[in-house]
Amino acid sequence: MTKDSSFVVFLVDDDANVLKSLTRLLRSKGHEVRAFSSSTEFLARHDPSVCGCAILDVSMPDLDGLKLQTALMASGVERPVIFITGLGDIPVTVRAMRAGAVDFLTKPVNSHQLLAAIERAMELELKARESKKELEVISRRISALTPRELEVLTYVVAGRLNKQIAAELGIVEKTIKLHRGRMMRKMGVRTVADLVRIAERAGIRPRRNAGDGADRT
Amino acid sequence: MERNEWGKIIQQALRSLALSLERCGGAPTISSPAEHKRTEYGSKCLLLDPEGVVARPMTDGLCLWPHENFGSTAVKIMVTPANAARWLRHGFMNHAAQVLLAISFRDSRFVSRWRVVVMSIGLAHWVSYGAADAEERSRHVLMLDAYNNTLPAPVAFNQAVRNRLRTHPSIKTDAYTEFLDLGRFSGPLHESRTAHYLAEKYAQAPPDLVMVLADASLNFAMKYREILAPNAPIVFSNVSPAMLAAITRPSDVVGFTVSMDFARTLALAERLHPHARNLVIVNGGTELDRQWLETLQDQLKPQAHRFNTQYLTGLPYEELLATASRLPRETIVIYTTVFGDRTGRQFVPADVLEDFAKATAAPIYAATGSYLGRGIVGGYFESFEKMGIAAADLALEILTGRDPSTITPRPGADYNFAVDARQLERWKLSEDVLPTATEISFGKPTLWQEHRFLILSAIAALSFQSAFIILVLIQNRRRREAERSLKESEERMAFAAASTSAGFWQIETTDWSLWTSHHCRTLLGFATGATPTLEILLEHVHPEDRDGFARAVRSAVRHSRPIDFEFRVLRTDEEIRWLAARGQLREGDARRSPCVSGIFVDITALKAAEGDADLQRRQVTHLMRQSMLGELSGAIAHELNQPLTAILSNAETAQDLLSRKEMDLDQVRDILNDIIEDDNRAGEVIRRLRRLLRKEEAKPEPIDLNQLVESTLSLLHGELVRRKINVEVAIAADLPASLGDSVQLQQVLLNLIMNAIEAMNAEPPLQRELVIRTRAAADQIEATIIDSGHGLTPEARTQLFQPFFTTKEFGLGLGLSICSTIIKSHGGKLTVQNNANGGAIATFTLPIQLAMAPA
Repeated sequence: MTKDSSFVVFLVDDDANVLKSLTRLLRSKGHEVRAFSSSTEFLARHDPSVCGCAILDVSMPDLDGLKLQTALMASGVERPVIFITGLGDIPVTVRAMRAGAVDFLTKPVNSHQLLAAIERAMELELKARESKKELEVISRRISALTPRELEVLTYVVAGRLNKQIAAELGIVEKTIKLHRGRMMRKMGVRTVADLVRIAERAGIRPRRNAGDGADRT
Repeated sequence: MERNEWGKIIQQALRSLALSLERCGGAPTISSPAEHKRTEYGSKCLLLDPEGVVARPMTDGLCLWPHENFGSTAVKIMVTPANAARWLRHGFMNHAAQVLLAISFRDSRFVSRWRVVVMSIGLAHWVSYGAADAEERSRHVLMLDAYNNTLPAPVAFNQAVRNRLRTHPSIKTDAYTEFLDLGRFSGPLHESRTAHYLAEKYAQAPPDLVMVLADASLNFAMKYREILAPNAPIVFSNVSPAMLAAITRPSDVVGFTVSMDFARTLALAERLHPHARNLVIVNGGTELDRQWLETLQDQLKPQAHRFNTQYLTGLPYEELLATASRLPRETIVIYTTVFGDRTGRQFVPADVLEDFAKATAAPIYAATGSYLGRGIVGGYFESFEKMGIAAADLALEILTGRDPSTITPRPGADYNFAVDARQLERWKLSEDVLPTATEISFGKPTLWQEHRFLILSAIAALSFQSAFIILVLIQNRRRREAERSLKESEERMAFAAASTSAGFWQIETTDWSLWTSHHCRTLLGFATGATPTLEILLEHVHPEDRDGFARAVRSAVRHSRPIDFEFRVLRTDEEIRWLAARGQLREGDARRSPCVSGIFVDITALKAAEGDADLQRRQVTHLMRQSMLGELSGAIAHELNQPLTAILSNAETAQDLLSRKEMDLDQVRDILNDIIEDDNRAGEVIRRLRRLLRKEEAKPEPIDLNQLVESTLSLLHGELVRRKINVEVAIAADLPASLGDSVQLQQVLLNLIMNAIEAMNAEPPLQRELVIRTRAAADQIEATIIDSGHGLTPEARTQLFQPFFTTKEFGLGLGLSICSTIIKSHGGKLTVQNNANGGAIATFTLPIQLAMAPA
C-alpha cells in the first residue's frame, strides 16, 4: 500500500502502555502516528485539516470513544474513526457502527485487522479530501461566473436550448451562445453532461423557466 | 260462829271492799270459783281459814277470795301496792292488813318461805305506805259540772283542772267529777234525787272542796250544799255576774265570773266578713237572757250605726229557726243566750244554738266559749282550759289554807279570739285575716299532723325499702354484667385460642397436676375425653426434647423462670409436630395456690417455612455471588485486556522488526521490557481479584474454633433436623485459639457442612450421620467434618478444588476453591478425602495464633 506521508493516524487511549505499544506497532509499519492519552487533549490539539483517521478507545474515563466521535462530527470534522475496546458489548458495537465507524476491534488488538482498517480509513479519507478539493474548485469557478452566466448555467443544466433560454431571458440567442461559451470555459467542462455533474455537486438547481428560483442549495 | 254466817260476812266484807276499790279506781273482778280450776287450790294457796278466805299471792299482788264452800259467788280482789296506798287512805287497808297478819301467823305450814318474804315485804310496804299517808291525807275535790261529758268544753275544763291539781308538789288531791247533765235532766225532783244520791255516794269520801262550772251547777251546789259538802268551800267558774248578783254569796264561795265581750266578737266577725251590713242578734226571753242583751247593746252602741241590726229576742223555738233559715248570707249573727223563750219554754242555750246554726245560712258569732264547736264561727272568750287552770289554782290555794273570804270573785283573765276551723272552711274563710294569736280549734289535723310519726316512719321504711331494692337491682345488674363480660371474655379467649391454634395448660405447683384445655389436647393428639397428666405429656414429647422440656417446667415452677421452649411432640397418630411452649408462674393468692400456666402453639408450619427460608437464603447468596462474579468478570476482563493488548502489539512489532534486514535491536529490547512490565501489571490484576474474592480486608482476630463450630451447628439446627441428620459433635476441651477472620472461617464451615449434608441426601434418614471434631495437633488446630454420604468420585477427587467444578445441579463450583483460598490465606490447609465407611472427610487446619499469610 502506498503510504501517504501526509496521512496521519490519530491514536487516543487512556492506557499509556497500550498507547505506547500501538504507536510503536504502527510506526514500524510506516504510519505517521500522533498519540493522545485523553479525549480532551486530542480535541484540543487535533488539527482537522490534517488528512488522517482516528483510532479511539471506547472505554475512556472522561469522554469515551463514541462521544468523542459525536463531538468531532458536531464540530464538522469528518474523519474516519476506528474503535478499539476492552469490552465486548454488542449494543456498544452496534452504536459505534451506526455512528459511522470504519471498524470496531476488541483488545487485544489483532495487528492485521488494525492495519487493514487503517488502509480502508486512508482510502476513505483520501477520497473524501479529493472530493472536497473538487468541490472547492467548482465553487471557485462558479463564483467566478457573472450573474448572467450563472443564470445561463441554470438553464443549460435544465436541458434548455439556447433558443429557449434566449426567450426566457429576453436576450438574443447570440448573446446566450456567447454567455454559454464563456461559462463552459470558466467551469472547465466540455460537455453538458459534465456541467450537470458538477452543477449537481455544487448544489445548483436547474431552472426550467424564469419562475424557478436559481438558488444554490 | 256458824260457817254460813262467817262465809256471808267474809263475802260481804269482800264485796264492800270491791266496791270501794272500784270507786277508788281499782279493778277487782268478780268471778265464780267454778271458773278456777282445782289445781289453783292446793299447796300454792294459803288458807286464811280452811273454810274462809283464800289468799293467793300473784306476781302483782295478793288475790283474795272466799273459799268455795262459802257460796257460789266469789270476789277476787287484787291487792297491789299501788292501790293499797289508796285503800289505806280510805281506811280499807287496816282491815286487809289485819287479815293478812292473820294469814301469816296462822297457817304457817302452808306458807313457803318466799311467800312469807313477799308478803312480809308487801305488808311492810303497805304498812309503811299507810303510815306515811296517815298524816297526809288526800284531799277530795268534787267537781260538779252542769253539762254532760260529751261536750268538749266541760271536758277540757275538767281535764285541765285535774292535771293542774295533780301538779301541786305537796297536796294530794283526789278529784271526782260529776256531770249533772242539767241541760237534759231538770226539775227540782231530779235535782233533789241527784243531790241525795251524790251525798250518799260521797259519804265515805266527803269532799274537802267543791268546784262548779257554770251558773246551773253553782245553783245546784249552793242549794244542796248542806247535804253534799257542808263544810267545803266552793270554787266556781264561768258563772255569770248576773247570777252572782242574784244570790247571797257566802264568803267561802269564790271563783271566776264570765264576761262577754261582744265588741271584740263583732270586730272579729267584721274582719272575716268585711262586706256584711246586716247584724242579727239572737237572744232568749228569760230575765237572764235580757240581762245579756243589755250588756250587748251597751257594748255595741258605738257600732250600731254601721249595721242594719235586727233583734230576734224571745222568739218561740220554731219561729226562731224559721227566721234563721231566711237570713241572707251577708249577715252577721251574734248569738247571746237563749235560756228560754217568751212562751216560757226552757232551753239549753247551746242546744238552741246548734239547731239555729244548722238552719241558717249566715255565720254566727258569740262571746261564749262553750259555744265553740256547737255552730259558731268564733268569738272572743276565754278558753275552758285556761279556765280550768285558773280554777284549779284557786282551789289549791284554798286547800293550802288560804281563807276564801279574802278572795273576790273576778272575771277570768285569759280571753282571746278563737275560731272553729270547720266553720272557717264552711264559710271559705282564710286564716290569714284572723287577728294574731287567734286560737284555732277543731282544726282537722291533716293527715300529716295526725300521723306525722307514722307517715315519717312509713316514708322512712318505704325509702329504705326502695333503696334496698335499688341496691339489689344494681347489684344484680352488675353481677349480670360481670357474668356477661366474663362469658364474653371466656368466649374471646376460647376463640383466640382456637384461631391461633393455641392450647392452654396449667400445672399446679403443689402437686404437679396438669390441666389442659380441649384444644390443647387436640394439639397433643389426645382423645377428647382423655385427661393427660404431666407424665403422659412428657411421654409424648420427643425423646430428644424431653430433657429440655422437663428442665424448662422445673425451672418455671421452682425459680419462676418463664418457659419459652420449642419441642417436638409424637402425636398419637404417629405424626411429629413442632410445638412452642410459652408460660410462666402465676402467683397464688388467698383463693388459689401458685401455678404455672401457659400455651402450646403449633409451629410445625413455621419451622417448615424457616427451613425453606434458610434454603432460599443460601441459594440467593449463591446467586448473588454468581452475579458478582459476572460483574467481576467484566472488570477482570477489561483489566487484563489492557496489558494483554499492549503485550500482543509489542510482540508483533518485535517480530516484524526482527524479520527485517536491518534489525533495530534496541527497539526490540525496549519492546521486551515493555512486555515484562505489562505482564506484571496483569499479575497485579489477578492479585486484586483474589483480594476482591476475599471481600473485605481481613481483620485478624482471635478465633475460637469450637465456638464457631457450635454457632454454625445452631444456625443449621433446623436444617439438620429437617433432613433428619444425626449430628455428633466431639470438640476438644481446651482448644487453643487461632488468628483470622471468623466470618470467612464460618463460611468455610458452612460450606463444608452443607456439602456433607447434601452428600447424604440420598441416604435413608437413619444412616445420615454427621460428625464434627476439633482437636489440637502439634502447632495447629484441626477441624474434621465427616459425613456418611456418597463420597467422592475419582473425577471429583482430582478436580475438587478447581473453580467451576461442581457435582451439584445448581452448584457454582466455587465453594471449595474459595474455601481452600480462605484456609490457605489463614495459613492452613484444606483437604477432602473419602472415608473408609463410605462418605467423605473434610479436614482443615489452622495455625495456632499465627498471623495470616500474605496473599
